Amino acid sequence: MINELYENHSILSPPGTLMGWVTKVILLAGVNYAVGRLSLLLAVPPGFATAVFPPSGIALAALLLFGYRLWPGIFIGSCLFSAHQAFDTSTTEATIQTSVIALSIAMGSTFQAIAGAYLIRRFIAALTPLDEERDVVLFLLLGGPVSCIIASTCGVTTLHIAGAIPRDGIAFNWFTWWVGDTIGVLIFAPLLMIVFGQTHPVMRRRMRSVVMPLCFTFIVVVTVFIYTREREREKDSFEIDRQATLLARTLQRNFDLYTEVLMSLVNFYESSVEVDREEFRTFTARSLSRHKGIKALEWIPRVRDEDRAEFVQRTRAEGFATFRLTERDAQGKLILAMQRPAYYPVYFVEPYIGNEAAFGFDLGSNRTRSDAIHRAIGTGQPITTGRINLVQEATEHSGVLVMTPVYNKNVRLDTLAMRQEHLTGFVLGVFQIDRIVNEAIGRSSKNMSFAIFDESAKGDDRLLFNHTPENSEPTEMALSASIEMPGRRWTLQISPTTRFLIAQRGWQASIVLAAGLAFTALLGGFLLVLTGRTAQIESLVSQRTAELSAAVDELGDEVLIRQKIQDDLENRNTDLIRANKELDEFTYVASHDLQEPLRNMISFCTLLAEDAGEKLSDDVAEDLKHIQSSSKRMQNLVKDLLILSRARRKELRRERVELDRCLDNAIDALKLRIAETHTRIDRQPLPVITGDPTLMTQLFQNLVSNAIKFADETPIITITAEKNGEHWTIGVSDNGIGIDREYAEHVFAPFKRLHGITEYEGTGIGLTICQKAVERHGGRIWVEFDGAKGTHFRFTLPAENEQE
Amino acid sequence: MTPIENDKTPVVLLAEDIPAEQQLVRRAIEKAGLNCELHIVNHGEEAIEFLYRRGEFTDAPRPDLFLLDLNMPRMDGRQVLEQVKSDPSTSSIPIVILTTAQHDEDIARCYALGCNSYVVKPMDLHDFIHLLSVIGDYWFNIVMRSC
Repeated sequence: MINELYENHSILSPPGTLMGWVTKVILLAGVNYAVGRLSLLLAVPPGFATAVFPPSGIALAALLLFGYRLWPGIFIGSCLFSAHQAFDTSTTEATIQTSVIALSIAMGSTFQAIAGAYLIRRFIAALTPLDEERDVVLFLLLGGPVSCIIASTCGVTTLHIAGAIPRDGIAFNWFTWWVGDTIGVLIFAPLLMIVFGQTHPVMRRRMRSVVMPLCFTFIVVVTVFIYTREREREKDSFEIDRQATLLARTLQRNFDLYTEVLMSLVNFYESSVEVDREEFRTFTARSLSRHKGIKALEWIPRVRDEDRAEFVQRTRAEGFATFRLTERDAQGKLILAMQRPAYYPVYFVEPYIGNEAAFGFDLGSNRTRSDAIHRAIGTGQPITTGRINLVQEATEHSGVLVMTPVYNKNVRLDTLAMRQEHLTGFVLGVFQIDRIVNEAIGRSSKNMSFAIFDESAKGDDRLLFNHTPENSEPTEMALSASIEMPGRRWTLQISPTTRFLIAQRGWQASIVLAAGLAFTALLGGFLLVLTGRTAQIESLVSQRTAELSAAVDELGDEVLIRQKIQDDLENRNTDLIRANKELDEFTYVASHDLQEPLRNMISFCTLLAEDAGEKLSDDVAEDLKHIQSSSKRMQNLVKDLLILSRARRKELRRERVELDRCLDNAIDALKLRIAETHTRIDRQPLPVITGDPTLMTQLFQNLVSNAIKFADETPIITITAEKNGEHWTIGVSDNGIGIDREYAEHVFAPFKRLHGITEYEGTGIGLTICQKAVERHGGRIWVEFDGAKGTHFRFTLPAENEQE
Repeated sequence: MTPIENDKTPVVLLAEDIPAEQQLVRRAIEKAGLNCELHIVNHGEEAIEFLYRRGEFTDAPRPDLFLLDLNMPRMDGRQVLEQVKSDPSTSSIPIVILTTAQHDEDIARCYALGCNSYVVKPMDLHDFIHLLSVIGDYWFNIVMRSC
């Protein structure tokens, strides 16, 4: 299954050789182990809870990049890491247990990575370039918080079953584990995906836009964390120092106080002639009740050997029938004291109850005590013994004796001999150290581990007192202070316990780390989304640009095609103009050349008619007439064609033209017919324009001629002129037969006749000439229908620019 | 007003390539009643030969009036006009351009080359006859002929 998945989802490299695989697995295991160890630097002591556990991210990325087959690397790396943390080979059982724990934790980590990789592959189509917002979110979500449930659950369960985590610690431990793994994935999986996905340009760009800022942020967060943690450590050690100093001072004061109690007892002896048992009890009762650390106050008289019997006798007389001087044998059993030059028996002991065994015990029989006795006599000062086991109670307690010599009154004690001579006994206090220390500690220092050492003693006897609170261990941090005891120097050593550190633990550093890393992870996600989106937009832009450039190319082609069409059109137009010109040329030449033979025909017909008129039959004479009239008609046609072709081809003269003069000329040319038909011409003053006077004259001549020709009553011709903006509109209307509206467009076509040749003679070219003349001047001509009888021609001519 | 000294019949040379036109001119001259000796050549080259009495025209008389058509094959009227007017020996011969074309360009050019008149043939026969009688009257009777 795993192999199949690998085959299907290999990203970077195909399945390599066995050696390649082994190398990769070892590499992955080594990296995971080393990075795991490194991440411990970020842990807040005590314990190994760290806010970021990069191996989880490395594991996921490795499986995604190189395939599922690398899972043993994760397993081995995790195993090594867990084993290093808590491998216990002290007993076979411990070895087996810690091994099982390590394997179980490693299994959890491995399954977590496989599950993460599987989920990511299942829901994300393409891991490179990972530019879809949805893909980025899914990647981080599935690889991070979702799959990271596995290892933390597995690990915490295992540790709980093994007893390493108590029930109430499950939630906290699970949470810190899960957070560490999640942040590890969120930060390091994308980093590695980018670093190893360099073949893709988007990933390459992300080196700068994602990896660098992410690394920078990570380093900043870690730096701030380390700084904060150091500050907290400083604060912790300051606190420890403070507590240690305080405690040492308290202890010193307490011991001083106890010593004072002893001294007051000495004073009591020195000021009294005789102190009996009752007086001693009364005097000490108060002190004993107030100072619980004083287990007993005793009066130790010096009894010389010659006085031993008398001393025992006297004491028995006090009511202690079994009184004797005792000492302990090698087994610690009380026996009768052996004979010595002097005895130092416990004579008064308060409280008596509980201290019965001490009554009569010769302190001189015991090495520790006799040393102190001789040192006290030697110095004349109070002396503290080394550690003794207090025999008064069933349980064994450490204690010390402080004894002060008492001498005869009013004697000189300058020399050792004098002091030995005048010594009467010792006042002795039994101090139970743990009691005294506990009184001094109070509540505040519960999470401290204490030890008091006797600097004058050697070996095991050095340790006077040792205290470590339950469920706690002393740490390596330790501070010491001196306590001065009569004749001895003690050292107090204080070290904070793990409990103290937990209680003292500043959450500041952890919060800084957690918040910083969460920020880093979010930043990573944000940058991925941002760069992904940027890449998408860029690709969209380049795609659109390509489309646009394709469209532009197409447009360019289109422009070329249009240009070609345009060129073709222009060519055709040129051809057409040339053809027209040729046609005009032809028309001109043809009509010109036609004129001569026509003239000849007509002339010869005339000659024939004149010369042979008499001799011709009527029929022949009529035939000759038809020849003549046909030829005449043809001659008119040719003449009009000539005019038309001249109107078309003749170079237009552009000169100042008084239209009134043109009209005059036209009327003059037609004066015979005007006279014959009694035509009346009403004319308005006409403007002056720029143009060709010949054409203008021809225009008026044709229009007036037409008006006369198509008359059904005495023709009245009205000529008008009005200015419309830049144009003059000239009207020529008559009262003749008019033109049907439907023919209005046709009348200007050449050879178009609306009437039979017998009704109205004409060539059908006259109006064509008019149109040509107007158009060549930049105007237009049309038939106006205003409801009046007759025909109304109107044409426009550009008005002369008055500024010229 | 008949000239006293010169009663010799005037010689008229017509250069015209179209036979119908030649005939029409001849008939019109007849109709006009002009007393003249009409010689007709068919194109410009013949006209030159006639004037310089070359080829078959060795006996040709010097014309008193030269009616010249412009559009002719081989050597057209303009070339003939130019040659005749540029040669001092012939330049004194009056030349009347007789044509159907009313070409402003031709008119200007012909006068520049030294033609004596430029006449457009009228369409109507009677007008033509009248025209020829006027021309003949003018050149034969009114103005002095050079010798």
